[in-house]
Amino acid sequence: MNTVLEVKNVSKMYGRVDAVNSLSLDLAEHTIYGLLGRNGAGKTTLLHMIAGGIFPDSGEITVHGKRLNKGDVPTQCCYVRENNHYPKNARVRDVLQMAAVFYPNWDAKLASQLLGIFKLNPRKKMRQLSRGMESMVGNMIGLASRAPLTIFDEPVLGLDVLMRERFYRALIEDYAEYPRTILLSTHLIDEIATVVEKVFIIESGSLLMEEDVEHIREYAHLVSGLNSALDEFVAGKKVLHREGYGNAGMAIVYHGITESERSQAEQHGLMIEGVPLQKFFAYLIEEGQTHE
Amino acid sequence: MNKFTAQLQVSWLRTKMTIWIVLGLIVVSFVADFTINQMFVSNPQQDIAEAVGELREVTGNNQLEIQIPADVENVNVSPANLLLLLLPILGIALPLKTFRPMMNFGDSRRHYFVRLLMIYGFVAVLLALFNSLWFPLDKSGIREYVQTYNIIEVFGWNQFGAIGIFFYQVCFYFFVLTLFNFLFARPKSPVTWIIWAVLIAAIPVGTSIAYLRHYVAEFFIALLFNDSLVLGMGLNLGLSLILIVGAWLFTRHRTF
Repeated sequence: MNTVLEVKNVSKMYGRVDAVNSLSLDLAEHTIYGLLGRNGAGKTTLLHMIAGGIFPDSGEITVHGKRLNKGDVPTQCCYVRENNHYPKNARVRDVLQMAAVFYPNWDAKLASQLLGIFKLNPRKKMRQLSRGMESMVGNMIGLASRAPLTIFDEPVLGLDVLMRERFYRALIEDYAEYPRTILLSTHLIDEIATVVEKVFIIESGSLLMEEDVEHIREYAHLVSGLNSALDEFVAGKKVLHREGYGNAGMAIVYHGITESERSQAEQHGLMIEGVPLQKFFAYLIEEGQTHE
Repeated sequence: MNKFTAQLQVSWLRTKMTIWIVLGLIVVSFVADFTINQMFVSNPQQDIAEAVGELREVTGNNQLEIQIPADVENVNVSPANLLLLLLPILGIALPLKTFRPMMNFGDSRRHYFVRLLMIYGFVAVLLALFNSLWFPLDKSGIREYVQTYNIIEVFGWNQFGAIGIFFYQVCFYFFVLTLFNFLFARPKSPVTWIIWAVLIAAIPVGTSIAYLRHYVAEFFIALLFNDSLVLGMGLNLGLSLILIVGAWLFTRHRTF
């Protein structure tokens, strides 16, 4: 698959604080990615650099094979910011009409369908919208732009559960019909677990993990039982977290488990369960371990 | 809609409140001046004569006299000139208020900047056209009721005829817009702050030192009172070009 975005050893400092530290990642075409990280991990700074809003202190960013120089904005890229800056006194329909001229693949029909799906009144002014509805206008632009590289920064901020579900469904349906590269940055990890194919986890401006979601599901396990059996089971395996309660305990293991290992563990009274992505993320960050 | 009209719409949305306020103030000011001239100060010669009479009574000096010109009257700035307040306002507001929305739409800095200059050109033409059309009204109709002065006469642009008046104004207005645009193209940059400080310091320094005052006066005469239409326009456009280059150097590296 062709590479749509290439970030090589990019760093950015704000004063003496490392916002992004020698970070590298590649995005292939026709894939949905998740960019996960805590608040202040450097997600938005990284996305701003990719979109050409701010400039890296060092490193290279290449979009669709074209290296971004200082001041360049990537072509065929739609970046939906966490805080959009559409004129507050513009009506929703005006904002959509203005956005349409900047994206060559703009689908006006989809935009009009999304207005109905997201229950947005096109005659309302931006300042009359709630935080969630404002996010939705940005999300509509991101979807209707059909840009080959679409980036959403915290797309479900302020949205209720129903609207979040509608957004994810619209995203998946449109992506199925018009595959493109989508990068979703969020800290609501479990919600995007079913949407994204691959995740980048960043912490303190550095890439902590880059993995397929399916692989994480396969490899991340919560194993609990007696400490003696647990010690024996986890020996030689990558343990992200360990807790003990008297002579029993639990461990978050990031390792493949074969059927024979599983049945052996059960014989020793160990319970093996999957770990939700959100918990896996929390343990990973907490332990500060990197997957090799 | 195309990208230019989109940027024009963003510019209008971000500045329309200010524009309406300026227009409102001009209308109120014009109506107030008109009313005062018509009702309260209808005969300034008589008012002054009465005041002198009162002074004679108070002082007991019957010889007291005040010489006043025959045509003394309250003189106001032409409403069309007041509209030129929009030049600094737009030159400041547009770079400050439209950069982020346009970048948010995925626009490039270069295209944004080119369209911004086109909008400045559009504004300069519009205001020059309006003032050019208003000037004959000032002379033939309005001055029967309200004394006004118009910068077209003040700067002597009327010596160039109707077309010359229009083009001199376009160039000068464009220069003013690009000047303020340059000063606010990258407001967070320390270089910008230094330029502000230098300009603020230059005004008192330039006007207080006799040697410099001569050059400052020469510069403004060449810029505004130029007897040659071509030279006047050329100087305004030349300076605009320098300011455009400076503003572009700021804008090309302006962060979101």
